[in-house]
Amino acid sequence: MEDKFILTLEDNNKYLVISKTIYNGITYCYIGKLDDNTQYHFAQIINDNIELITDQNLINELTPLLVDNI
Amino acid sequence: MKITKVEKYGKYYENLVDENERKRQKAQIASIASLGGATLLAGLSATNIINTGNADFLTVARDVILSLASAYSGLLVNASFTELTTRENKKKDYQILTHCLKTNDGEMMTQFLQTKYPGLYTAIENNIKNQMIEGMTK
Repeated sequence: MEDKFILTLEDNNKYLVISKTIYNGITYCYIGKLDDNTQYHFAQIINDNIELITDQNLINELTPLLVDNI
Repeated sequence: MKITKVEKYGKYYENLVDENERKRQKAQIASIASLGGATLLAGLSATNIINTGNADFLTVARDVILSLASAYSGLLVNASFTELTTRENKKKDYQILTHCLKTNDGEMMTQFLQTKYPGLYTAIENNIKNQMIEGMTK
């Protein structure tokens, strides 16, 4: 757990980075909302912005990579 | 959405004076890490989880964890297997997983989970205990 990060977004919501990986030069992560343990998202980080991913094909490609970095 | 702050897990607690609040938040984060790890391991998409809603989510999470408990043929193994085959530095893990698959070696799989995914292992163990208690009291 000690190597995990917590992100605060501009809407003041906080997320735990459960896993992250770099794929094709882009940082991807799997995050869980701190005050709601039902909300998990795949996301990509570009500069200081985070964008949620909904492309199922990309999610399928990322999942094994993220699994290995839990 | 812009990221305004990045904190290491350990640093996050530094400003919390109230010990009870510190414990509460630690437990909450551990819960998120375990459930999130389990769902990720099972290859579930975030969209599917969100669409199920709160009550259903708990059922889904429990089912996922229980299915992982019999991980010899579970999605955990499949996901790891796919990844591991592509990475030379995980050769030993690949060999362990392959051996567990071939021989149904529960003890070795347990050791693997404890070493590689301790949070998940604890979640699995707790859920199995809960299931056993439920079964005994029915």
